[in-house]
Amino acid sequence: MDDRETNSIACHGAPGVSNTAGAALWTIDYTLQAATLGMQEVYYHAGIGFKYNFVCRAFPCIFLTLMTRSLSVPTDRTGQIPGGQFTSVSTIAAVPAAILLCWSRRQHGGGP
Amino acid sequence: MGREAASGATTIVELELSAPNLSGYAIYETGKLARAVFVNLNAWLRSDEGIRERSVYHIDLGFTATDTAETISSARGVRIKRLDIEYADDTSKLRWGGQSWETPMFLVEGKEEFETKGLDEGIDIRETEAILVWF
Repeated sequence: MDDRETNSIACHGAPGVSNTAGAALWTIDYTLQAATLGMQEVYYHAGIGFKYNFVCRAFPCIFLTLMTRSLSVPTDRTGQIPGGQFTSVSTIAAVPAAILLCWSRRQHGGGP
Repeated sequence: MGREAASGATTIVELELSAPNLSGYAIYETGKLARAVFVNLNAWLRSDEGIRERSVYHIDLGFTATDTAETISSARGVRIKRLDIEYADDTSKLRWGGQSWETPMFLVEGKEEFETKGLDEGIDIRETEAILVWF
């Protein structure tokens, strides 16, 4: 059992919530709670320009740096792909799901 | 300390705690209590400063005294690593065990810091804080 895509608030997060230190605490609790439920893996949606900000601002950039190193994609000094939207390897495959989730929210007015 | 290789026999359980918004997890290695995580999810906001005191929970580790020696890795004391947050609504200045990753090249900065406490002393955890405890 695994959680293929998650984070605090859908559609790249919300400022004042997803990018706060409080969200970092939530993430720790959520991850460990998932482990007690038997989750093997949890994938957090994150990326440049998104509002998620875990333990530090550098978090999305770390993933991006690791990914671009492995793919030999040119990066600028901060590890960002110029104009890039990609996040971690696991998130790339999850992008269509994120779009679907956003669309669904608009249609039904609901959301997490 | 803190660099244990995965034993392949790690289990985790959620602890039942009476304090509101305090969560706790105990991690066992081959049946022995090895680590615990506590998260104080009460929000200490920037706007609380000057209006009230930042609250603190005291975690009594007396439960370990009732366990048999076989269930505790080390009986004498605990080692603690703290996620230090100034305010819940901060977007920077977090420190994990005294270290920061908020550096231009995302390299860790500062010396890694641990605290040690005797089992009989227990542990304090402020609101908006998380700790990792090694037994």
